[in-house]
Amino acid sequence: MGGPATERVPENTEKSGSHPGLVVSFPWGMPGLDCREYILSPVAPESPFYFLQSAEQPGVGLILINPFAVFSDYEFELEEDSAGRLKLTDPEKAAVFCTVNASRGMESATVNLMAPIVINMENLVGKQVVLNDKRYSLRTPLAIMRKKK
Amino acid sequence: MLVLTRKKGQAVIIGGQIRITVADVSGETVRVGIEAPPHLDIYREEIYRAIMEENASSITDNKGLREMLAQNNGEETKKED
Repeated sequence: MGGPATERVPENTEKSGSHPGLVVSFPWGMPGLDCREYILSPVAPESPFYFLQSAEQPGVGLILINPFAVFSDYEFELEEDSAGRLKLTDPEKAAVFCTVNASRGMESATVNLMAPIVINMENLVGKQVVLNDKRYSLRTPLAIMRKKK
Repeated sequence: MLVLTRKKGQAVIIGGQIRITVADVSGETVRVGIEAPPHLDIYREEIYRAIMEENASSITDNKGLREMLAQNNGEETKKED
């Protein structure tokens, strides 16, 4: 089960995430969230930030970021199991986002690089995957990533 | 909680669909093999909890988003000076 990681996720988030208001379903849900259907939209043209609004609960949303825009070294291999469940056969069709935790203010905002959200832009099915990679933390300061850039 | 004793190579079946096998035992470490239907996600508990907490504390609404963007734009303006 699981099998070796094979599929490399390309850096195509900006291109594929640029349509406003896409309905994306998360059939496996996301830990800590009750919803399975969300609306994904960029916050502004050219911005690395996106908003994932629950289609079921109006007050529930997540700020997402295109990780490649702020962290140029970010890379991971999507496990075969996850790729299969997302029916992702062409890596070009994948978009990658990371959640932003700005609950302590933007200056101390962090990005979850350990559990990115992968969306198959062809069937609009998404999944939060867990990376087995010690380089990527659940709370990577956004400010540090921007300085590195 | 149901507590069962198993030896290496033995398994338990849950709901006729999930099979957990004791793959190896070495000192205090137990390796388990899990076979489950594909619609079920499997996590190490501490990782699941950490992601759950991080997701829950990242939840915001439109107002929170606007505040974040306003602060972010402010920062970017500062850098340009």
